Amino acid sequence: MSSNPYKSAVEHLQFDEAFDEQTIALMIDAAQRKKAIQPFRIPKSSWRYIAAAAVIVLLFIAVPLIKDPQNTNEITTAAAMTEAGYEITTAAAMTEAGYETTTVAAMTAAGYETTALTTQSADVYSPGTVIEDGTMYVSSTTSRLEPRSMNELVNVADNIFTGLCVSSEPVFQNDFLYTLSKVQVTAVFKGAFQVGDIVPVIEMGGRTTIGEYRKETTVEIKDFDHYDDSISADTKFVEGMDGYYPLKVDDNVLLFAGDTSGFLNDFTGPLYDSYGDYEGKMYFKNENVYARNTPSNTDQITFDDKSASISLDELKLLIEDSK
Amino acid sequence: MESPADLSEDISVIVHTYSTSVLRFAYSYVKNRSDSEDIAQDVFITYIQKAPPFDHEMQRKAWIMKVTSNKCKDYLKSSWKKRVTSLPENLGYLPKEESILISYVYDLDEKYRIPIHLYYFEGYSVEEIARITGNKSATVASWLFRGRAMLKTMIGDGFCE
Repeated sequence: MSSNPYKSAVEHLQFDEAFDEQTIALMIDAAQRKKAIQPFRIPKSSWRYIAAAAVIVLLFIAVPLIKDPQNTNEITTAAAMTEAGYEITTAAAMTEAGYETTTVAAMTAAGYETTALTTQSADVYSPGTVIEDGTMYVSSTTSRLEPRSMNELVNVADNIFTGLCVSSEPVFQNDFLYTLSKVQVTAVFKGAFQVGDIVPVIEMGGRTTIGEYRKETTVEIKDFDHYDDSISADTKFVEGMDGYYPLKVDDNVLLFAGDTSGFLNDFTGPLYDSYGDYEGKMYFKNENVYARNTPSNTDQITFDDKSASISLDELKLLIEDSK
Repeated sequence: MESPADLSEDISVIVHTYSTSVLRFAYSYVKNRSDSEDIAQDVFITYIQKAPPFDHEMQRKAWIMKVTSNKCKDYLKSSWKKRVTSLPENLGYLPKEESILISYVYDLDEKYRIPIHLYYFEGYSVEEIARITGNKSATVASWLFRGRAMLKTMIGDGFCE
């Protein structure tokens, strides 16, 4: 038997010759007819925006009640507890009061100064290929449907820490380019790492050369490829996802990481990745704040007003609340 | 704009390139050849309709595999499928050891069977399978591990040396 008997057995499965030229012509015809009579439907991806809008409207209704419960005849459990001398956080108060909301949203709603947002930056980049300063940047759109909120990240991540990227190298596996970086831990908020530990982190995409990328990723149909043979093989090549790019040396980041040991065939030992691809990685913004960078056509780290950000104090609070 | 002849040629190349993977992936879900062929046709019709742009072939393949996975899940949930019972497939044309192996794998629960198919037939990594099936990497890794353990119990070490 071969070393992969399952593959060999599946290869021997017989199917009818379902895809001759006539069938393909019929499929094209069917597709075009279907396209012509497609009824109007709200795209599936829009529902989350509609839901988000509904939550915002609810918050507008809820906030005055939370801020000034004395203006109403009702008194919330939270206010009662505070009056009774219990120390509770605003977020806990809202939860106690029966409001379904995230901690950060609750803090913001109650007028606390917070920079932690759960919204994503608007995509200001265009997926595709650009060449800038002699480097080809490629960023593709992933099929991710449900972005994680900050609360979800805090709950799902086994390890939350800040660190400095001390090395970063491209790795190819199964026709995909990845980046294997080593991050030296500078502060730990969740998990068993110690300050000074070196954590191997794997990410999608990476930095290599066009020549190396062509050599290592075998594509079956060149006709559909974006490669331009006039571009020299030693041109730098950077691949990212949704306008986000992998770590590079000296990057100061906050990582929400999980164990993905065994993912790389040629790497033994513990291996970690950030949750939700780029969502679990935030860059140092200023003194105490880390933020998700703005999606870009190049790997320059910039932030805008819509960048999701969190201060380390807020992070500690969220982690505390999640326990 | 692409002429009908060019479109037909492009689609033809894509269908011929990916039909093997799509048919076999669909088969690993629905365990029936004619249903797999219907699903595969539906996948390619969706592809033609949407005509999504891709920078790399691997992205195109990942998209096609994800759509196949979704179509199979829809099919398995459909009221039609719930009302009918498919005839068991006759795999007698395969060498005995291969038909036994296929039947063992396809007897596994879907959550173990699909990662095993994608891992051993398509050569996808755990992370890639997670993207296609819409699960967490750790979950996929655990299903793969348990699926392999079950197969090992049934057929010993002969599944994959």
